[in-house]
Amino acid sequence: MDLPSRIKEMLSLLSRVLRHGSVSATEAELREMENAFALVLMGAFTGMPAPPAYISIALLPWLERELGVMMSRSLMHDDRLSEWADLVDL
Amino acid sequence: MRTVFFVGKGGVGKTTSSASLAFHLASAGGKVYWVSIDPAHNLCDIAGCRPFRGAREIAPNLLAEEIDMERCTEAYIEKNITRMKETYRYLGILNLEGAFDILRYSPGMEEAAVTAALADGIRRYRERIDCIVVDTPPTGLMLRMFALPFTSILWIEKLSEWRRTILGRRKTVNSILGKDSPYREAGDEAGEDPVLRELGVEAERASFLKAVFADACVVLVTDQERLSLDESLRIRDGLARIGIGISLVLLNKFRALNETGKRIIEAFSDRTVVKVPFVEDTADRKVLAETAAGWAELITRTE
Repeated sequence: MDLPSRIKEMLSLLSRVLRHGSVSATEAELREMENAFALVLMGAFTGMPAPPAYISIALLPWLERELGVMMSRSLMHDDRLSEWADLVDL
Repeated sequence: MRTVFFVGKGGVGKTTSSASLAFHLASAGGKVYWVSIDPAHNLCDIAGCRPFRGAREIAPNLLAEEIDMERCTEAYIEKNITRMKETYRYLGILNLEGAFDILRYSPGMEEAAVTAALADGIRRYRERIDCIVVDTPPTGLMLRMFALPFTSILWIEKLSEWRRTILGRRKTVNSILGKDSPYREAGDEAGEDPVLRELGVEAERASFLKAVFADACVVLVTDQERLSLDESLRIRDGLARIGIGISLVLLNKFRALNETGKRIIEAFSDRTVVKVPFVEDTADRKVLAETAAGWAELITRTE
């Protein structure tokens, strides 16, 4: 690989690192929002205030992704340290 | 077009009173849609016809329909179960698709199905009908049914707002990370989001029903029994909590005023209380129509 290509690749890598760094907090917030959105719709199962069941049921077919996030967040629930380490990019 | 709901304790004569109004208005030339959502299924007994499905003209100008709660709840749940099974078809690999059958035991499905069926009926006939007369189910279900569009709208507004925020954040992440974004496939356009679309459909239905309930004339039917009075007061307070008032009180099966009757008149002193004599032969349509002659006008001009 010639020098200009190496520089180009390095700059591209740097740009990706910086871009990922700049949105990591937004991504973490987004994950929590998706998690909470699914959790609220499942409120009847968890004892939280919940919308009328028919609304949850009408939305369920479109919430595959959010339900996945909710499940993975539930699994990670007890691992606060790694969660924090992920957030601060350690 | 006027929508009139007949509410009251079971056995006080809601169906008979709604029949009286329906036959009276129809015989006077008004086009009437008389619909019963009472699981007691006695619309046909009073109308003197054989049970039928769907809406049918049982007299000139009078279209009648008995919504079979059990069947419409079953159909409503079946539709949702089918949709869930189609979406999560891969669960079939694990033989888990039957898990959705449990949806039929979800609380609140009954009133959701009934209000959806009622909304469909009203939409279908409102253009060609002068008055919709509704015979309601027992108090508990009736109050939940009235409250449903009001609570639904609150939830739908909040969920829609929340969803738009989620889509906004996704858009931010997608525009910064481009093809590296983990949300590239998730969709970030409000106009294309199926969750917002579904919430919009439910919002439209709930708003329609809220408007119907808010503009409706609610007739409380009671007799002079103490339990009927207690339940009437619960109905009045339950409806007041969602901003619906009683327009007229029918003191039904009236022979002579007793102590409970006096208490009813006192409790509803701010409303017109009409004493309706006991109808001996509820199968006589002419008698039924004449019974409403004394109070039908109060309903058609009540705002």
